[in-house]
Amino acid sequence: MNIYRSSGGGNRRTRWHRRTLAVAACASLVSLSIVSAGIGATGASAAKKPTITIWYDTARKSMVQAYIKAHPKVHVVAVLKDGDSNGDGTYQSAFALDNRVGHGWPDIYFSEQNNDAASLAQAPFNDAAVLNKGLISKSTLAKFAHGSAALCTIGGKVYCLRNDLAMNVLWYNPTLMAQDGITSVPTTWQQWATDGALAAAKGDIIGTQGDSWDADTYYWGNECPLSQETSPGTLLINPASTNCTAMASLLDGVSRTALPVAYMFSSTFGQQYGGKIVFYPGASWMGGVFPGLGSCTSANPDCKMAAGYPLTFSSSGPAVTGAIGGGLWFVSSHSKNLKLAASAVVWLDTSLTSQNLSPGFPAYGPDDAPWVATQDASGSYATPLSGQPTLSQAFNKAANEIWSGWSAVPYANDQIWASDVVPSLATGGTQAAGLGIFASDAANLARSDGFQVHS
Amino acid sequence: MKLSHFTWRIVGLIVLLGFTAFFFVPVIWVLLATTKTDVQLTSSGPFSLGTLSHFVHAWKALFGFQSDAMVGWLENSAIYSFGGVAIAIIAAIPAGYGLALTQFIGRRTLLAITLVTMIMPATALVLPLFLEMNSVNLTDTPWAVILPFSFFPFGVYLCYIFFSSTIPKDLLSAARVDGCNEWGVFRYVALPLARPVVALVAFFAFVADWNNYYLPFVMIASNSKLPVQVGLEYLISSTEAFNPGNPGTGAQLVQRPELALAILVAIAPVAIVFMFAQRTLVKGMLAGATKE
Repeated sequence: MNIYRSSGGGNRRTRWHRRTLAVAACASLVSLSIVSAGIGATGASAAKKPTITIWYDTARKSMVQAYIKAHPKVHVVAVLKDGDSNGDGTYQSAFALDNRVGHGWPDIYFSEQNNDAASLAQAPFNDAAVLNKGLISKSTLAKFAHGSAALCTIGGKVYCLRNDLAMNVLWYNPTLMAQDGITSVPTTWQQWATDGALAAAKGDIIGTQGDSWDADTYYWGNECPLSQETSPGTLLINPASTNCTAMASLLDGVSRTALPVAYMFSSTFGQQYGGKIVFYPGASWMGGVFPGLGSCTSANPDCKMAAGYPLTFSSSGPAVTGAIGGGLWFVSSHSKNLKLAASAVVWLDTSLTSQNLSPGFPAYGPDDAPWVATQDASGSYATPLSGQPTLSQAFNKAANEIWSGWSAVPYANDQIWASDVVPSLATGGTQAAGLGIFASDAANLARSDGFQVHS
Repeated sequence: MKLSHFTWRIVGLIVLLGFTAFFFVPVIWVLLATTKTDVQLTSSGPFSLGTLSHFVHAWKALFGFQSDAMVGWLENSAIYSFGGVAIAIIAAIPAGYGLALTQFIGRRTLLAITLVTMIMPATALVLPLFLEMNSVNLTDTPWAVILPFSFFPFGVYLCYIFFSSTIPKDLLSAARVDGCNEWGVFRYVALPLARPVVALVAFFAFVADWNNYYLPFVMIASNSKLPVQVGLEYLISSTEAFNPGNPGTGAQLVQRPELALAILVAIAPVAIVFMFAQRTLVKGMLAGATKE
C-alpha cells in the first residue's frame, strides 16, 4: 500500500519527488559526462611532439604565444599563473606538493618575484636548474646587462635569467621644473633634496617615502648593505654603514611636503599628487604610469615625464642604482627535456620577436635599442631637456649600474619595509629609525632561513 | 530618567540604520565602481555614478581577458558546485535519516564523528585529500574537486536534526503497519516530507562549494579547469594597482573597475540561487522549531 497515492497532496509530493530525482539524475549525468570527456582535453596529435609546460603570468602571454607560433614542432602546455607575485608563495606551495607526489612541475616558468631564485634553488623546493653549467652558453649569458644576474646567482651558480630590468632612473617633469624655478635636472641626491624646497613651495613633490620599494630606491641605490650575501649562507645587514645612514639623514632632511609618505598606487594618490610630481626616483616602467595618475590624463603633456640618469650620492659617489620589479625565467630541474626547456627560455628571453612584446626593458643587451625605439614612439614620455639623455641613453646607463651587492634572499625585503617601516614613517618616524626596524626584522627572518647574519 | 517606548524605538532604528549602512556601503561602492574608469575610481567621489558605457567597457574587458577565460571559470565552477551538491544530497539525506530514525551499532560514534568533521576547518583536510587524490591519479581532474565537495557532514547533521525533530515516529510506524518496508518508509514517507531540508542542504553545499578557493587551487593545475574563485586571484595579480612591480599588467586591460565587476559576476549565482530558494530555505530553517 502506498499511503501517499491516496491523496491529492500525496500525488503532488510524489510528482515533486520524481521531478527532483530526475533533475538530480540529469545533473549528475551531465556533470559526469562532462567530467569524463575531460575539460580542455588535448588533441591526439600533440602526443607525437616533444612537450614542454610553461607557467606564465598575464603580461607574458603574448611572448608565450609568439613562442608557440615560432615553434610548431613543439607541443606547448601554457598555464597561466599569478607569477608568484607579491610574495604570495604560489610557486613554493605548488613545488612543495609536486615534490611530495613526484610530478606536476612545469618545464619553465616566469616569476615576478625577484627573490625567487633564493628560495626555489634551495631546499625544500630544489626546483630551479643551474643554467651556467652547460645548459645555456656563456656567450649568451655574457650579453645580459651587467649586474642583472645578481639576483639569480647563488654561490657562483646562475639559477634564472632576467627577462626585463626595472632599474631606477630619475624621472623629471620639464614643465613643472620650469614652473617651480628649477633650472637643471639634478645629478646628485643632494641637489635633488635641495630642489625639494623649491618644489614644496609650489605644492609639488620630488618623490615619495611610504612605498614598499623605498629600500630598493634609496638604499639599494646608494650601496647600503641591507641584503648583501658576502659568501654562501652569510648575510651582511649593516644599517650603521655610512652609505645607509647618510642616505637616511638626507631623506629625513627633506620636508614631508616635498617627500610625502604616500603610496603611488593607493586610491587617493592620483587625486592628491597627480600633476604635481616634479621628480621621481623610480623604476624604468614608471614612466608610462605617471600620465594615468588621477588628475593627469594621457593627453595632458604636463603630466609626462622624461628619464634622467640615476642620481649619485655625491659627485664622487658610487654610480649605482637599484631596481624595482622585473621578472625572471626559470628552467625546472625536474624537466624531462632540459635542453628543450633551456632553449625555450633562451628564445623567450633573447629573441627580438619575444622581447619586443615584453613590457619591461630587456635584460638581454642586443634587444635594448629596438625596444626603446618602440617606447620612444609611443608618445608617453616628455621630450628631454637640452643636454639631458635620451630615453635610450638613460635606460642603458641605469641598466648597467644596478648594484650587484643587493642579494636575493628567501624572504621579501619589500614586505618587511611595507609592513614594519611604512607604518613608522606614517606616524612621524624617521628614515633613520626605519633603518633600524628594517634591519632587525630582516636579520630575524634571515636567521630563521639559515643565514649567518653579521653587521 | 526612564526612556519612553518611543525613544527606545528611535534608538533601535538608528542602530539598525547604522548597521545597514555599514554593510551596504561596500556593496554600493562595488556596484558603482563598475560604472567608472580606473582614473575616475581614484579621483572622483566614492559614491559618484559613472556611465553605462564604462560598464560596457568593463564587461567587454573582463570577458575578453585571456581569451574569454572568465566564461570558462564560471562553467567549471558550475560543474564542480552542481556535481558536488548532487552527490552531497544523495549521500546526506539517507545518512541523516539513518542516524536520526534507525538504530544500529555504532550510531552514536558515527554521529560524533560527523560532528567532529563538521567543526574541522576544511582547509586542514586539503593536503591529505591532495595526497589521497594523487594516489588514485585524480589530481588535476574535476573529480579531485567534486568528490571532496560531496563530503558534507554539515548537511548530514542538518538532516539528522530535521528527521529527529520533525518527523513523528508514529507516522513511520503507521507506514510499517500498513506494509511498507524500511526503504518504502524512507522513500514514500520521510523523503517527501524532507523537501525543505533538501533545499537547505543544497543551498549551503552550493554556497560552500562555489566559494571554495583553496581546494581547487591545490587540486587543479590546468588553466582550462580552474573555477572562478581561483581565477579571481589571477585577475587581481593582473591588475596594476595590486601588482605594481610587474610592468605591463596595465596593458592587459584589467583594472579596478573590471575587478569590481568580476566580484559581482562571481557572487551572482549564489545571489540568484538564494533569491529563488528563499521561501524554501526559511521553511527548512524553521522545521522542527515548534511542535503543535
